[in-house]
Amino acid sequence: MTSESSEGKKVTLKSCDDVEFKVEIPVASRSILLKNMIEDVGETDQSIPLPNVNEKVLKKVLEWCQHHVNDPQPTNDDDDSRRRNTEIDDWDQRFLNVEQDMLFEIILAANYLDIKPLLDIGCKTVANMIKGKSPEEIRNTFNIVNDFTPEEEEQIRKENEWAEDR
Amino acid sequence: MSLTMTNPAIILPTKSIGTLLPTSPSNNQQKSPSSSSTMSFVTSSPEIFSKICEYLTPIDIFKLSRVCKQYRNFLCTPSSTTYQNIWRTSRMKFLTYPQLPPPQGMDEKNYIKILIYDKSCEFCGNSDPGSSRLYWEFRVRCCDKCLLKRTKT
Repeated sequence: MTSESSEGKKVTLKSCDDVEFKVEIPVASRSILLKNMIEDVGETDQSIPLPNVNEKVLKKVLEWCQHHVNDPQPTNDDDDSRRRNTEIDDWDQRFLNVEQDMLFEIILAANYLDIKPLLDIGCKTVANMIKGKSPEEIRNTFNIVNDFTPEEEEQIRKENEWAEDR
Repeated sequence: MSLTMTNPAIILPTKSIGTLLPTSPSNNQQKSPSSSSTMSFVTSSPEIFSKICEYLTPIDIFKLSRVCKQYRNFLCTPSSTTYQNIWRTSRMKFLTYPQLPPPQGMDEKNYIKILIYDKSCEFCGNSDPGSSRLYWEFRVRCCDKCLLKRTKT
């Protein structure tokens, strides 16, 4: 999938584990961080190092950028509508149907690279895994250790009695 | 593919954000099955934790606050801005009528709780329907008996 305006120009990205990716500029520009960098630097043969993203995650993130290359860029005005919309489209759902480690790495990478729509669907996916669950079910889902002492737990239970059957 | 679990993890509250962000190649080791719970890194970044909470109802956030100490710190520390923002966003988004901010001196979480969910008397716990009322001037919800006991005329 190429965008006409790009004339096939590419930029080289380098993951933290030294793997290079040649990427069309419109694809890389889904990341606001990269978009600004490319605009500032202009054409260059040098690769852009991404010290916070490894090969596996970068590959995955670029797959998303490629698929969404023609989406309109989000604007700040969209903030409210973004928040209200908890739907995730089918392709994105399949894309994020990965192990939790990968899911969270994608979220962190989207945050670092400033790819808001990807960050949003990542966070929505995690929120959907939390919704409607009891504290114990949330712990099981994310392998979180209950580190409250029995006394603290009793105290919290009392504070939250009203929320028990909701 | 399912969202499979890795081994049980311990949330280390002492971890700094720096060690949790994938800054170095050593981060690649995370694909090993013994890696720690990935939720632990998210919670170490208040920004991402808040973003996840943007999609949760107040009830879900109450439940999240009971999961572990770290979440409790995030969600039950009224002095922090992150805390106020998380509860405010959820209130504005999911509760239909309380769009007014809480009265001065009352924090967001307590506001949501006494206004919407917890209809029992704060002092004696009487939860009979209609037995308690909100007294904004005192920032409490209580029954007539407890009100009389605790006020002077």
